[in-house]
Amino acid sequence: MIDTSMKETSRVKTSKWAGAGAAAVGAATTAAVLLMGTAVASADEGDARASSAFGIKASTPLVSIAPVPYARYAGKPVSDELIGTDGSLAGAPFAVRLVTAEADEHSAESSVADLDVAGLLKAKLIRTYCEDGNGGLQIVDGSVLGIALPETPAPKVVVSVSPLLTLTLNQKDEHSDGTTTYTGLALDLVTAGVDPKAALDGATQGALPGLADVLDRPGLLGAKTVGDLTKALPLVGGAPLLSLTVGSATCGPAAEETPEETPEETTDEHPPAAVPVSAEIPEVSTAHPQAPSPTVTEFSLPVTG
Amino acid sequence: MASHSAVRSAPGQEENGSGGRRPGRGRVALLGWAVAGIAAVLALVLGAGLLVGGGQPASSPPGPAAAAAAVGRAVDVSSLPESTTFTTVDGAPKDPSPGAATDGRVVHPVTDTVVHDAPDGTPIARMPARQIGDTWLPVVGEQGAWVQVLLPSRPSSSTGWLPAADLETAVSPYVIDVHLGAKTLELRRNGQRVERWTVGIGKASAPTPTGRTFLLGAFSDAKQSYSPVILPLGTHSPTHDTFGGGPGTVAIHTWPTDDVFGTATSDGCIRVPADALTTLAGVPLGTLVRIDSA
Repeated sequence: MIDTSMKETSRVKTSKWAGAGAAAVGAATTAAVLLMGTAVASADEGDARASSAFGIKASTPLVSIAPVPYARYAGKPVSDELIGTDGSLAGAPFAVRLVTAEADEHSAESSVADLDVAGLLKAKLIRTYCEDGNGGLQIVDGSVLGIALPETPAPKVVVSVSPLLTLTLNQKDEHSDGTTTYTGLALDLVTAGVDPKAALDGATQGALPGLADVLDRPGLLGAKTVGDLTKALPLVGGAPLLSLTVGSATCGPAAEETPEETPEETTDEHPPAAVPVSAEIPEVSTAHPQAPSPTVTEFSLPVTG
Repeated sequence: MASHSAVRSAPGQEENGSGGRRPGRGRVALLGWAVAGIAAVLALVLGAGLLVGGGQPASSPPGPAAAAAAVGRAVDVSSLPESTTFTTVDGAPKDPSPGAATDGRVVHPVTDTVVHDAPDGTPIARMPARQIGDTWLPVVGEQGAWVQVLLPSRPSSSTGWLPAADLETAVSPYVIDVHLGAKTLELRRNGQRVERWTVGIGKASAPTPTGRTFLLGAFSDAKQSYSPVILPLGTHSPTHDTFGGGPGTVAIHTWPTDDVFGTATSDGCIRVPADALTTLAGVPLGTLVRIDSA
């Protein structure tokens, strides 16, 4: 059971797992993924430096998926979750039982339970957490193409599956605002540098009709080589052909490094949602670092003189 | 545990295993998996009704009709225009409060991200992480996991919504106020005036546009030798669709002679004394610039 495998390493509790798991069992009879916002307040205001977490994010040159579920601390704990089951489309099975994202003042956590992407990327649990700026990744029974993934990867472990695919575990990124982001699993498919004449095998070509249908890219049907694939799915600015993130948690250190966060904190000054954050007398936030000054570069842009 | 042979650490990290998976046969298998992965991700997205940057959970389970509608909303991101000083973005909301101050927050997309017309709304553009240097945009609104920013693209004074998770947040304590009537430029820090200069502005036939915009970057261009540094803004001439081969970008720069200061003789740009340019070039990227008729 997932519950028993989890360790109390973060202040963000995961006690909802048992109930949510039961709910997921019921949901398993449906093909569609069921989304349930868990009622907790959305982050309609708050410090952009605050903790945040999300479960899944993905992009291709054609489609971008914003982080989901997403939670960002808004003066009180925020959580969101996605309860799903064996969604299947275009012959591409995808299963996930539960995805959660939770954010508290100085901690955040996301969990993805019972993930199964086409039977090839699997995990009982991918849990990414952050507390007071420190965090990490926990994987339970994870594997990619049958290769077992470490349970508690060291920072930035790269799983080398092929020249085309990079799987990075437990990436740690420190930001200028004092927060740190822990990214659980980041998968990037990049064809740059790969011989465009390399042939696709039968299995790959067999997957193309479904992909062509979903993406409305008939050109994929005739793809025989890596070059054909990239031609049918044109890269945008050298972006990866596929970028998939599972689990992200961002948080900053507790109070001692943020002594200025008091009455002038932007949290209390922001009007309700969708209203301009403005005032006649600017109250400049002190919760963020100052943005960088521009670096003068050589550039050709005729201006209006 | 299966083989550790495919697990390695990044440079500087302890090795978890030795060697790597051999290319060749494994590569083809991987490609098949990766292709399936793309479709699988889409399957999740389409099945969940979470489309193209949409991050807000649905309030009710999407049935087949909802899923079909969701599929219909899918947008080819590659077909969206970039939001840069060179482009026009249709469907971008107008600045809701031209002339208003902000709390000074500015955001930088840490990755290329999609611009929407509303929180969880329709994708209208792609925002590159870099254009003239790193992209920094002033925040003029927020809702949930989304922030509203001023855009650098045409039309002037347009805005867009970006997912907060894609953004690094910082602050600029400065505001640049340009008063066209008085032909002055004021630099304010934390609301207090730091400097004030007499400047040149656009002539009647090519006026400097009013409204809120921002400091987009800094560059030098040998073909525009009248100023050693040019500070482009995120706004454009209302009368010149193009100018000198450029997109009509309005900028702050200096001028070889002093006689232009205090006059309305430019084609839209704001001409400032050399010392003003030196000072303004040190102001943070994304700094709010308010241009009014006063």
